[in-house]
Amino acid sequence: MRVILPIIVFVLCVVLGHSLVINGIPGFIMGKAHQTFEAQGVPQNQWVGSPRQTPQTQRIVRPSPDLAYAVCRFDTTASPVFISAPIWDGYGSLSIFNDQTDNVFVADLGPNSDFTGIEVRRPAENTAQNALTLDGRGVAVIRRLAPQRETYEAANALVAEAVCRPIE
Amino acid sequence: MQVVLRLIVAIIFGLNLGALSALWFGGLIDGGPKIGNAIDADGWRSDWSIGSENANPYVRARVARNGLMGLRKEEAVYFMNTEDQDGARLTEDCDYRVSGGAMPAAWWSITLYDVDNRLPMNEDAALSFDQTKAERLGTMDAEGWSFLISATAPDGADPAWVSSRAGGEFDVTLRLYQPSADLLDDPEAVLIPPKIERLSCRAGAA
Repeated sequence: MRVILPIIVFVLCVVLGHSLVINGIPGFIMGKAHQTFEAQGVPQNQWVGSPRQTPQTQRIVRPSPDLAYAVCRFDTTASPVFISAPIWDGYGSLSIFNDQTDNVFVADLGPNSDFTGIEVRRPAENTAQNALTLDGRGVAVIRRLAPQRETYEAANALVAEAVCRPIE
Repeated sequence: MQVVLRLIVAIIFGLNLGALSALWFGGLIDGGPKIGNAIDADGWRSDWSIGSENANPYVRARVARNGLMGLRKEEAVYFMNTEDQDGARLTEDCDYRVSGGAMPAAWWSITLYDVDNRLPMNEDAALSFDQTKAERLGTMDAEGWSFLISATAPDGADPAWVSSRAGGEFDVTLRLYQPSADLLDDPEAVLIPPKIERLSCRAGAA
């Protein structure tokens, strides 16, 4: 018993420590991403276009240099949020990620898209099930195919027409 | 008293070992696995659960570390390769020819990343090769497309080239945007993966 009990406790602690850490990694890294965006001056509820992705401007891991990115960080705790972006003459998407890094929503922004926007609400406020459910913080990302400087500038100019605002 | 001490030691070492193993399996420690390997098409590896709420905790952790905000498979899929056709590690000390054909997607690109998951710190403005460039350069013919990976630029004003300068031991990532349903159903059968042929290496390199 003097040996068996510590061995059992050791194994249980290995499992517990492993489980806590592996399940905590996505939330921890997403939290760091929010902090980084904040430190870089990305305000809440506002789209911000990223500079063209180069070795010198990259701020996230594995950026695609062929895409024009824009980011909006939001929080549904105080109020629902409405998110939209204009369509684009090429590949484009608007995606939303929750605090666990899950890609919970994607809209096509390509030329044939009829996307006009989406409401994001907390579970308790989405009783009609007509909005995306997301509790707390999230990040919306626009990707537009823009492999050349000219197309990148055109894509970046569209960021001003995108919407990411609380619903009063 | 001895039992209590043993229990305390067991708790401390157990929690630490569990945490460290999770960090390794989650890809947060150098040498640990990267993005999921559930799919392997001749060395091009991927995992369809990237971005999905159904991904297991290991894939979620690796994606968070190595590909944060990756899209789910209906929108884009990602294949990573770290080796040439002969199974040797990709390195900036060698030159490679990458070739392929039509891809089962609306648009594709191949980008080079260093071991820290970053674009390599050079100013060559040759970070990726994509469908648009293949079509523009006229290399997208019946026999397919090809481009060179090397640390120095080949001759020509607009070469089909991706720079590996400052890339060290690098990987290449194939992105397929809006992939076909066939590919999603049976990726290893449908994808005809690009070939990475090693051309030459600097003296002393493998």
